[in-house]
Amino acid sequence: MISELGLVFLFLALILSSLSFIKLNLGLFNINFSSLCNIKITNVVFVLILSSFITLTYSFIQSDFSLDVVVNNSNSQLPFIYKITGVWGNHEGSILLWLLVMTFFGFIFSKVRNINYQFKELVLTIQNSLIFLVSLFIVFTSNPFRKSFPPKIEGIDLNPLLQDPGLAIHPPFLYLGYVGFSIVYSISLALISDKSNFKFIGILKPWVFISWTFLTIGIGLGSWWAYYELGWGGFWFWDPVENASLLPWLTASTLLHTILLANNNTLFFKWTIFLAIFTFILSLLGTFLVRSGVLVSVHAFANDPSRGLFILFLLLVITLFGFTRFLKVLDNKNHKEINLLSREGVISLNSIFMLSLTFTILIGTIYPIFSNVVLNKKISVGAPFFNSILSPMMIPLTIGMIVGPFIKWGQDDLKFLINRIKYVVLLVLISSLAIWYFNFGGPILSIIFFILGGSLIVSSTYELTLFFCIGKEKVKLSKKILSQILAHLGIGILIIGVTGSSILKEEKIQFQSVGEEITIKEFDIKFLGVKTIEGENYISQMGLFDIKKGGKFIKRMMPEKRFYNSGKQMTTEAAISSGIFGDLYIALGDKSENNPDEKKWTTRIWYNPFTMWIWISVILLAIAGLISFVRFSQLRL
Amino acid sequence: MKYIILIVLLLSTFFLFYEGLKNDPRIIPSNLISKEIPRFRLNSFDNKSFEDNDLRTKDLKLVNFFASWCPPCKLEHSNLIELSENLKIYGIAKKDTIKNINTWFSNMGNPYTKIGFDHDGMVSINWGVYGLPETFIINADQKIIYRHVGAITKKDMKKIKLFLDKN
Amino acid sequence: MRLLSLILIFLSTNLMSVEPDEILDNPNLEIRAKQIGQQLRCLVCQNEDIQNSNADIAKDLRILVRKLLLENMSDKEIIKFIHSRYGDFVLFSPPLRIDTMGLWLLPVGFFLLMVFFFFRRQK
Repeated sequence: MISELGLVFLFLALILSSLSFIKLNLGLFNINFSSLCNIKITNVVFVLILSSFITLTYSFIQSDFSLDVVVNNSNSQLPFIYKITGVWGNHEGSILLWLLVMTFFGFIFSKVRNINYQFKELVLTIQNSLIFLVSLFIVFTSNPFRKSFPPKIEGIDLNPLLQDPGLAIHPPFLYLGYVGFSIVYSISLALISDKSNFKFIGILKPWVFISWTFLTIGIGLGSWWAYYELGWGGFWFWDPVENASLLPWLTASTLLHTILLANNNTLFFKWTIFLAIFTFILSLLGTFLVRSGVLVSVHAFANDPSRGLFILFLLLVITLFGFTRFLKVLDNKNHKEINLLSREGVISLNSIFMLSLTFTILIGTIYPIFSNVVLNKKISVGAPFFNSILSPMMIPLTIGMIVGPFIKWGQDDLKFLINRIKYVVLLVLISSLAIWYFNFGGPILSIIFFILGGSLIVSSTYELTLFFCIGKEKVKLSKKILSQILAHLGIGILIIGVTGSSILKEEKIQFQSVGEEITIKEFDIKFLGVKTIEGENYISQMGLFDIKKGGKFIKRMMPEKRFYNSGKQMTTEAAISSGIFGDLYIALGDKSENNPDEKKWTTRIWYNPFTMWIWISVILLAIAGLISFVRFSQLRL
Repeated sequence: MKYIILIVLLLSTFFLFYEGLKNDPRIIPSNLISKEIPRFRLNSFDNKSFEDNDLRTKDLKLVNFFASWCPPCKLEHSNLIELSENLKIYGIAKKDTIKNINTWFSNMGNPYTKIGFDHDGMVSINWGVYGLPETFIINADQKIIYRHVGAITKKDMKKIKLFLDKN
Repeated sequence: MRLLSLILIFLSTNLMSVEPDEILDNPNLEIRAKQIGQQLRCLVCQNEDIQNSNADIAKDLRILVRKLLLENMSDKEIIKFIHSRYGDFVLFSPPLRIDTMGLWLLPVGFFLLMVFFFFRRQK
């Protein structure tokens, strides 16, 4: 049967990739296994894993309940699209997707032209070894093709919260990001294996940028999905799994700054290699934290300590290997001095701040484990701690993003610098005063962050205009600079979006009678009652709300409470009306029990200012990343 | 030299995770261990009352928080009956009704020496109860010496008996 | 996967936290209640605070917080009250103690170390 084929393909891939793994280990002892062609192995393994994944998907589509994973995560009544996305809505399927992406990146890398053949072979040896280790993990602890015994005729269902288009795209993008850094890891280790390879550092660049872009989109999608699906308008909870995705994103963001300066053997070269290795290790750490049961998390998959042990082992092997290889690079100690008042200096400072932030979030996330194991005390580290660290950190980072682009490379002069930035500073001051004036009365924290975000937007816009107003000797707006402007602009917009949406959120919770109007901000919200609707595999109670602004009818909003046929589970689908200045967010609660004759329902209405700015910023950041990716891919071809 | 420090740090971090895998992060230890029982006064059957003074006895006793609407409580009930043969068990019903509790006892038996009704859940909060069922062991000095979260299974019975014998 | 379902049921059933009849009439007190609520962990949920959780214990604690506010207790006193009964786990930011110092000291130490190494090689 098809699913048996899937397991066979998986086994074949395991065996083939083991050859690369053996070659790698023999190579460590200087035994040459040179007849092995890793490029061919990469291609075959990709086809095998792709086929394996397709068979799994087919099993889901056909509702093949002989497979345990299909029984636990699907149902014959499930809408077609969710039969497909259900493939990765569970541990086994998602880790197979992880593996698929890993083989995919290897495959693409093997197809890139103009790369030294031996170098390519070396990179793919490492990549195939990683693939071997993950295949081992899947086959021994997370087999998606495990048969259900006794065989079942119907499945439990895909969790209703996951029956959503957001689920379709959030994990794939996230994995493209996480796993993209596997090839970054492999390339880095190949680079430092021999001094003659150092010159190939440029090869690293497009992979860093495309993986960062995917990771950014993946995290953004996760936040967006949480925002509209979980029913109370929150988008970030400092949950361990969210932190696990933020950590590699932060180191990757630091990496894409240092990589610009990493030529041959500078200090930035070393930083680049370290961050390239460390980012992938953090991706793996995230996987460990989520799937092992060592931490309590909203996102936690089935907690299986034996899986955790295996991932921990994987993590140890990959970390030790990368770390020991990296120590070789540290041998060379001649470096040019870095002036504080220079672009290099600012980027160095930026790295220090970003990495301190990364370290803090890492400590905060695993401190509970430490406290429990070593001190025998159970503590919680949550939003208050992380927010109190992130908030002050934003100030030096923002100043760096504003002033940095204006500082010269090598060595700058304070007098000339001030002259260059005098207009920016002026504009920032004016905009800050304006923000303070308009926001007066709001909480002081919101004013500070609006000023930070606003200043960044102003300075980035100013930079942009410089390129259109220089007259005849127009300096060309290079991809490099456009990418930087868009990225920093994106961060500024993100700051405003996050601040508005969290600190300035307005909430109205009440028992609303049919016909009653509730006012929030400038909107009048009239409750018209609840009607029952049948969906594909659920029954929905749909609330009807008419929204008026200044007496004029704008639209009707229809939040739902869905009761799924299969498992008697319920989800709340909030109704969201997004505008550039804020979102109107309505959720339907329970019918009031007090007076059954009176038609009163609990209604929850929120106004979330500037939420849309968050999603816009993610798009801008992604565009910036793509521009850089294109730029660095073109340079080599 | 400093690289050895880093490698040691790395290995200890991994060891930390390894140990961390062994425990269940969802079980919370009681903050009242070795502390004296909180003061309380609850209504009981027949207009009587159940208060902390009732626990000022010279023997080991159990206080069990339960409710008729709580499925794990049903699971442990027979084990409680067994325990009640050797020591006194006092029950506190959280957010329950007298009628339901009576039905509960007539169907499954009553292991409790005395019962209190915690209708608003305040006493449960004072004891640091966060789920049901929970069972506390109280010693001769009215100090809480042990808390068990969740239903008492056959495996738990052995652990509890060992603990009781030690004290 | 079943565990994931169980966990997510906590979120999905009645995702709607605070009920209208819990909300205090005095808006200032209600704001304080919310702020206190955001610092207290729902003990049976996965990383949620008591404001946004629909678990029984979360609701009980929300009602308790508002009750104590009406009795004119300060924010600090209320948190101390709940902390004394449930221990460190109920607080989302651990109290400052010898054993929790590491949480703040380690990051600061890391930052200082990096700055030190950076400026040292400038010589």
